[in-house]
Amino acid sequence: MLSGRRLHALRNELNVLAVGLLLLRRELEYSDRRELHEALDRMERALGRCVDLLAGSDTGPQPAG
Amino acid sequence: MLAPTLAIVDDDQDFSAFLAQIARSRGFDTHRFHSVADACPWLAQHDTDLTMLDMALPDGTGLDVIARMPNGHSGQIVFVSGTEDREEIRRAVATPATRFIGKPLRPDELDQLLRQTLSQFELRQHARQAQSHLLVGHSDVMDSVREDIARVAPTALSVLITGETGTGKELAARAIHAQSGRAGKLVCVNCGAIPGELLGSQLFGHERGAFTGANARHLGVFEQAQGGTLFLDEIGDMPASLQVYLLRVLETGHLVRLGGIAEIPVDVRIVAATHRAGGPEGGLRSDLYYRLARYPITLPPLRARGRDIGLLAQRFVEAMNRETGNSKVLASDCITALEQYSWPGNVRELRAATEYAYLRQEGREVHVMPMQRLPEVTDTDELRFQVGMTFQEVQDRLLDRTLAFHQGDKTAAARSLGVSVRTIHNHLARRRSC
Repeated sequence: MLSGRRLHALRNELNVLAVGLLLLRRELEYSDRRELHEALDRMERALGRCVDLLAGSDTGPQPAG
Repeated sequence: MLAPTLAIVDDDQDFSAFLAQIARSRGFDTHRFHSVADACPWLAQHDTDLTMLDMALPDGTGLDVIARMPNGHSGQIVFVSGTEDREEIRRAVATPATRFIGKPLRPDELDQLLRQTLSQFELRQHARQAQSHLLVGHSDVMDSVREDIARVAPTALSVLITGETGTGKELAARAIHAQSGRAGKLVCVNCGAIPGELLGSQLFGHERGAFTGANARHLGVFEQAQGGTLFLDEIGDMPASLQVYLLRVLETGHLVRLGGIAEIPVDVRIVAATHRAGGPEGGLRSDLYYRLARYPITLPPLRARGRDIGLLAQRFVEAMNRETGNSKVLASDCITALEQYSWPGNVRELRAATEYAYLRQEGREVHVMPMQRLPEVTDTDELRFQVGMTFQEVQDRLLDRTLAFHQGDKTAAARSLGVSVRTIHNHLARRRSC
């Protein structure tokens, strides 16, 4: 079981990945390179699973912020 | 201010950088801060349309930032934090911050937040520009309108505004509300834009279960405008049955929500408008007409405003200068022609013609030519392209048309075309340098 502090850090890192993927998605919006879109789809799905796992995990004492 | 402002206060530099990039691509002006000490001096001096705050900062919390923000701050404040501390979350939403979003941010949440902020910014910009344009002009007819507004605004009398389309009826309603001193807000409804069967619910609200799909109680615009002003545009398009009920609400000062039984007192000042001829024949029941037209105001068509036309065109050029950073002027030799034209679309048409000429013409002087504006597209939203046109010509025409459609608003045009505002600027700059 991860400590609250580690869970918090993990949320922050996943947040960077989520917004970074959103930025890439927007940059590739008008690209017709299908393999890149598929790669993004897979990464977004993996990120979604990580977020779900995180939401379902136990949390210890919480750090601030 | 030409773009909505986003302030990001977060010590995560990667997140801040990505978020700023996304927001800039949507037309935002972004500012990043990584600590309380870093953010507070700037936020004390600048208003923002959206502030996204982390909770944990190296020298304090997001709550400390909010506590030091000026009382008059008008933009939305949103906490974006990974905290699950319920007490902190409760304190965050107890402050003027309107929302709390947990990390990791979901793409659709961020998208919705940015869209909502952009939309509110555009509405405010539109209202601000519209308000300033209404006050332009020294013609006797506009002096008379201003006097009428100043006379009736502080009273509780209902006002009926008539005038051709494009003469600024909503602007007059906003001016009446602004000078009324009423504490509530102004709520605007276009009766012609809402299907008759929905209008009753929109105006007077409904109770849960009043009809299929009424899953929750809904407050109508009458209740939303409590203590303020309700502007009913195109009142002549309101179904006769609703006119009867509206009259009853105005006479009694009480309404009953659809499907309800409780009589709810309402204190709302009504300003109504119609482009139809003044008088009971304009689609209004005569009893409602006389109830609404306690103080009638007729807005003059642009062709009757003489020298105001040149002043307005110059004002539109100045607005475009502020938006583009240029310093163009209205060509003096086109003013006579503008004053002689009939302007069937009134101020709205003059504005579109001025912005079109501004964007199309090189050089410092802007020659507005009403009869030649958008000759092939005035009646349609379609564009025609022929085989043989260059890609550049297609891009130019599409950009011009989209800018004209959005009345020169580059942010809206960029969104509509699915490109960044920077791309629009680059395109225009390239064309200017050709």
